[in-house]
Amino acid sequence: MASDSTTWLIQQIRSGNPDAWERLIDAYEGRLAAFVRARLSDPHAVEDVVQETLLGFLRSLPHYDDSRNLESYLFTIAAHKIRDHLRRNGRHPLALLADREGSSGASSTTAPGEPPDDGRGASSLFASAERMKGEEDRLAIAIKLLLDEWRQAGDFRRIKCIELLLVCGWGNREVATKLGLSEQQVANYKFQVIERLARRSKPSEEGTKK
Amino acid sequence: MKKEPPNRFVLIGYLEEALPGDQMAKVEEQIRTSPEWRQALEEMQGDVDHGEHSVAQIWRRHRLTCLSRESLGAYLSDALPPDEADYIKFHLDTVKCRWCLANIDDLKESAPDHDDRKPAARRRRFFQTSVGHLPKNED
Repeated sequence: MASDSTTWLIQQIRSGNPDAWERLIDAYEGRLAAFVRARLSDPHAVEDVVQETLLGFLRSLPHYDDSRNLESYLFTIAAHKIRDHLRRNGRHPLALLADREGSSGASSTTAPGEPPDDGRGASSLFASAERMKGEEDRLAIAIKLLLDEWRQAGDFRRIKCIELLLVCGWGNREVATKLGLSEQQVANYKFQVIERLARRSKPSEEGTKK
Repeated sequence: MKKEPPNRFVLIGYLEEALPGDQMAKVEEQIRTSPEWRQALEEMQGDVDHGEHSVAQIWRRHRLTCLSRESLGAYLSDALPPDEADYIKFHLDTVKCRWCLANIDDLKESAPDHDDRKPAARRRRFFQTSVGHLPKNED
């Protein structure tokens, strides 16, 4: 969710205010450069990618949804620009896939705000995107509710456990060893979360849940 | 390099540019040298293009466990309760969240005792080479 000050800053940039643009660069360039440096060791390449990210942001401004988190949006553009850079230099393996006839690899670097190019009709894409967005939002809210509940209870170990299982893809045994839990506890946490997410993310139950 | 079977979580992280730099490089090596990994990547890319998503993708996309700049700053200043600080350490050192690590690096670079001449010059260059692309003010 964008803060009021970020919304104001974006409005100013949209109206062509150079001071606002300079403020955005001052605020975000450092973290973008650090993000890119994790992938590219050449300082000139890092600068090029950050520059392309900032220009990409200006180009996508007409499509930018003000309610989006600006930092996440800029990181997403930077990720596309890193991939573009690596592809141009033949380093990115998706280039291998893009060379194949009919491969959808080429659409992977489509920047935010640009439609994917996979040959499907616009209405089909829109309906599919809307459906997936609805599912995604419901699931994100359901996970956030669980995380908030655990944070309030100071149960950070459970957060760590679920993050390792569901985001990092660690196995039950690895997680148990890392966090000093029994494998049965890890399995129980996992089962409870999956069961609660399945229940909370169903659209038909939204109206009855508080 | 040890050949490991393709891992769906790793490939999702790879496609989202979300893994730490060294792991991204390792995955690229696997993809270059292993037809099995290439095939798995192609299938995963197809799923992503057609809107399939997993809990891991949603978690990262919504940055559900990422920390605010304020929390990361407080962590660097040692000004957080132990359990919160311990979670942040886990998020940075074990999950290796690329976005939070980038913020931490930036916060360290912005610290008052850090030489800020280089970042200032860099930002000036970015501004000068991009300001001409701002939307035109119609007023």
